[in-house]
Amino acid sequence: MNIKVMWDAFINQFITHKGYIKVLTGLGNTLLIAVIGLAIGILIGTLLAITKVAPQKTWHAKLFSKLTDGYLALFRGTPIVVQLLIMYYVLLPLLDLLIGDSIKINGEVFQFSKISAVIVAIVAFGLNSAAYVCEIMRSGILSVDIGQTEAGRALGLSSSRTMCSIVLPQAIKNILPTLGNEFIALVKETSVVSFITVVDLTGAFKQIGNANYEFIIPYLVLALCYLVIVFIFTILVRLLERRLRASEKR
Amino acid sequence: MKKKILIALLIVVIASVSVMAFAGCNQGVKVGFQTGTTGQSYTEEYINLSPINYQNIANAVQDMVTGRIDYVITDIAPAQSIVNHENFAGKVKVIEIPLTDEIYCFAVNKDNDALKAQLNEFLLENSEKLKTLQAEYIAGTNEVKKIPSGNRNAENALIVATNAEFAPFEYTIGNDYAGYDMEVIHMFCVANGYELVIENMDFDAVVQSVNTKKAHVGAAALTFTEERAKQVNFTDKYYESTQVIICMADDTTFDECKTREDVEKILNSL
Repeated sequence: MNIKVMWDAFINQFITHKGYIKVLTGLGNTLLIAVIGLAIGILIGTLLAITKVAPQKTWHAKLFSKLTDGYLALFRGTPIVVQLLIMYYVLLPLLDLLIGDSIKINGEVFQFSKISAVIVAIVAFGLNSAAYVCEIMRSGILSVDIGQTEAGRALGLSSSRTMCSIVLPQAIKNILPTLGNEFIALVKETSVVSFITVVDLTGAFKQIGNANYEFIIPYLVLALCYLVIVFIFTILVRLLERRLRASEKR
Repeated sequence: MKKKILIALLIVVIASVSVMAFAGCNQGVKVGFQTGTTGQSYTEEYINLSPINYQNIANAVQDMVTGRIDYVITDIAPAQSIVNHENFAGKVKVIEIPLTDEIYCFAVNKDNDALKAQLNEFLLENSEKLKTLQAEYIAGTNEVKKIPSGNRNAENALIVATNAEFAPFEYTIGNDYAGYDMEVIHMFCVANGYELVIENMDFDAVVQSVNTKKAHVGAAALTFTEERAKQVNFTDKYYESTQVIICMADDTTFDECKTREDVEKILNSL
């Protein structure tokens, strides 16, 4: 193995032939899927968690809780790759029948899908992450003392108002490290999106390695990229946590 | 009592799993191929060979060089292109006996007869030109043309699904694409006023992409097969090819072979 030759081959692809454009596009896709996926996950996950912790008195509260159980079983019980494949190759074609675009070729109309694979990936990762965030969020809500809810209700706040302005802010502070974990896992999991034709960071480096059958340097640089992303994110979470804990006397 | 039954069950499960894993990794001669290619269906016809899936041929050859598998079966042109690459030169060789007769075609969606007709017309009109180009590619004297991928949202975008890990038919140079298929489809787009958008994906996703209308054309050295023809429509052929075996340079198993039957006999007896 000649490191110099391998390195030159990599630089040739990466810089001389503008492979970095592909890598930057891939990085963009990875971050887009992870960040928007987590945002969707937190939004839906919180709603799901609330259905689980809400008092099970009325029939619709019970129904929502059961539906959430089903959702969790479905999305935690199947691998993310399987979910991606089903969404892209099974559900999307059905959706295209309804809202597919059409273009004209040689005067004949041809139905055509305009929903890109990246959007499918974002939705799949968002829904998958929602299932996990739901459990994280539920443990966060349960970790807030019941006295907080009672105090809020005693002050005359509605139950939804109590949840939004008293319980949830404290819950989020408690679960921030676990949410950070979820995001880190999400960033790394996105490396499977090549199954549905999205070129992410991993895909970009795989293509660069493929161009001259030399994978050692591209894969090492790839690992370094993920390390750097996770490292930067860890620092951001730590700063946010410090800010949120500023009011505590410890 | 219950505990004992549970422990006994656990031991049985672990034992059977390890036996299966052991049996699985010691089955006969290992032959590598790219998932979803003709190499796969060809290898799987021989029940005595143990098939090994790879995402691309380069990884398969790499594994053969390090001794994890014994042979690689793939199309002749990529085989020669890999064997001549500096990374593998001298270490591996191609057994140049054609094992199959196959034709490469472009794939279009079943509902898209107009595009199929347009492609066929183009292939017919330019048949002489393409023949020359093809000869140049086989001899390796072709001029390397970098073909960029265009804007996906353009009104006249023609989305082409490919697996750019298959030199000399399609491969990447940095951010651009190159290869025989890419050049032909680029010529087609120029002639008919389309903006060429190339989508690079795993090989087994190409036909599915065309079938589910994620792409207009599949151009990935696709061999015409009955199974694929049920999923997509194929244009007329634009290339004739065959499967060949790649083996280590010092392997003498196939040295005596003259014909396809000789090779098949040896493959059956491995």
